[in-house]
Amino acid sequence: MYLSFRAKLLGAFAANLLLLVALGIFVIHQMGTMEGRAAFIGGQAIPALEYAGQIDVDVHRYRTLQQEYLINVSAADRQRVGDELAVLEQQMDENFDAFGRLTLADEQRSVLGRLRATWAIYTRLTHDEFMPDSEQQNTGTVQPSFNRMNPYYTDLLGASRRLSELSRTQSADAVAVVNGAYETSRYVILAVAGGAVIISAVIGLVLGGTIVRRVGRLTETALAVADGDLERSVPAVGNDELGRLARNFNQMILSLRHQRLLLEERNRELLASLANERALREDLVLRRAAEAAALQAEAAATAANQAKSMFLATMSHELRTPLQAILGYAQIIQFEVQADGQSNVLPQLDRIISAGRHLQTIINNVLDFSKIEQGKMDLDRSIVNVGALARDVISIVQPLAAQRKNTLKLDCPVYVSPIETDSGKLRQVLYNLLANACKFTEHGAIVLSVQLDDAADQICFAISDTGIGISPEQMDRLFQPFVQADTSTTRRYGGTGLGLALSLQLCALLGGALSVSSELGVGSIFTVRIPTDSQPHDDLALAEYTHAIDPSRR
Amino acid sequence: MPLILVVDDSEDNRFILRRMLEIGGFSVVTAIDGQDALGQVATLRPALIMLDLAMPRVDGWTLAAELRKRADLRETPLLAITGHVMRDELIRALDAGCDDYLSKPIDYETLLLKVRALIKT
Repeated sequence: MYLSFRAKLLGAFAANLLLLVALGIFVIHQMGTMEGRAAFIGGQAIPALEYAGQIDVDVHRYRTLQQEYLINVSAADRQRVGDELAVLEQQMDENFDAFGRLTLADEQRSVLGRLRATWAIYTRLTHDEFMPDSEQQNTGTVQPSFNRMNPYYTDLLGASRRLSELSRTQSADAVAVVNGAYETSRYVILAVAGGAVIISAVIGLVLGGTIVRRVGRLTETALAVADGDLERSVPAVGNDELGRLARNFNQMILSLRHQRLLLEERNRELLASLANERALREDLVLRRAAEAAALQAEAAATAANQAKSMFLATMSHELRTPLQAILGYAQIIQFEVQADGQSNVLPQLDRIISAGRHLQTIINNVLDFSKIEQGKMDLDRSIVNVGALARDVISIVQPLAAQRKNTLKLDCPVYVSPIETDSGKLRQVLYNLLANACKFTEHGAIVLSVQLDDAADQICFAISDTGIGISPEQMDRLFQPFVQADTSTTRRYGGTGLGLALSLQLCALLGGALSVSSELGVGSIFTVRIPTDSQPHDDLALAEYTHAIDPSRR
Repeated sequence: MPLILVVDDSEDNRFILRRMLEIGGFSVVTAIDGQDALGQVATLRPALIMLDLAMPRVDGWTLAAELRKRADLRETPLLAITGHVMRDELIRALDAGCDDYLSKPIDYETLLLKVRALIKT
């Protein structure tokens, strides 16, 4: 059980204080003793000695006066001596009384009593025997009475001396007591001082040493902790201030350790979040790069498409110029030949002009297609008589149908309300589809049926044939530019593969749609739907595909 | 025979148009571009002028505008010969003073129809 330093210091102080108090009490007591003895010596021993001496002197004097009384014979002298004796007797009584009033030891008192009793006998003998004898005898006859007093005198002297001796002894004893008390006091004071010094020294050294040692440990640990070593701790012994300090210090280290753990954790979190953020940033950069690349690719694709359209436009233009010359010259030659009557070359000239016109159509299709792709195709809308337009197209296609021994039929109501659309483009679409039908059908039937769908404000043109049909696989690529249902068809049937793609886009431009249903080997139906008042329409995705032909439609 | 001025920078076109119009019963003079045409009309009084639009030096639009500035040629029919031109170019030609247009390649019958119709007015 460790007490606090304060308690220890207070304890040491209290011990010292106790010692000093005890010393004080002791010294006071000793001083009282010495004072008592000194007072005794002053008030008792010295008077006792004086009185004892006086008694001795007076006894001698009394003896001497007796002898003087004996010697003197005159009455006057005897009277004087007798008076002196009386004075001495009175003085002796006073001496005895004074002595008796002193504080006396038993032996002193008994000696004094014996002395007084002897004195009483001696004085009585003096008055009763000696003095009357002396008055009667003027010569030395009184000697016997005088001599008879001798033993008492000797007793008196002995007692007197004994009393003096006792008083001296008493004084010496008192002095010895004082001396003893002084000596004792000296030793006690020395001892107490020594004890106080030892207590102080012990407390100081032990406590100081402990404090220094423990503070040293604390300092050492504090320095280590300051250097970052949080695994250290101070031995927390005791319940004193340093113990509490050590415990608080350890608590602080624990707290620091905890804080450091928290900090490290926070740091890890921050690092993780930083890494995360970096990853996100890199991700963002990558994504931006990807977006930029995508935009670039899109721009490149757009540019490439533009370039393609430009190329097609330029090519078409460049092709058309010589073609115009060819057609022009062919017509002139036709006239010349007719004028000259050389009819044998006329069929060949017709073939040249026909082929040239076909080529011209193809080139125009390419040009139209590129125009649409560049968004430069304009609508030229007007009120159109659908029936007339359909009959017109049929008459144009008729020779084509006849080429492959196909029947061409128009199925149109007698009266169809006029619609508002671009007649040239509608005509182009119908022509393309009918020409296609003729191209891919042999010994078959081709029908253009016109129906007004009042509910949807649409007019519907269905071009059906009994031709080779289109397979589902071919259907997927049917409306893609420059693709024919089968690449082999290009060789077999000719054409650029642009007709359907262009027709689809023209339909969309007219605000309508082009759809197809077909069965391989049975035939195809292409259906054009045009709004009765066609508005410009940019959306080219209106085309509908139907893979299987609906048998009920045949 | 009505005189027709054909302005075209293409020799083939000039030849073909000349021959077709001659077969159709017109007399023809040609000019190689707008500037040449402006020089020729100083002395000639054609019944109709056929002009190509895309030509070097002075093009068809400029030529039409210049011809319409002349009091003596203000009433002369102008027939534009166009390639596969854009719609706004065609409108510009009509705005510049052309009365009608004819698309290439030239179809003989169409050509004669348009020329006769314009001269008659």
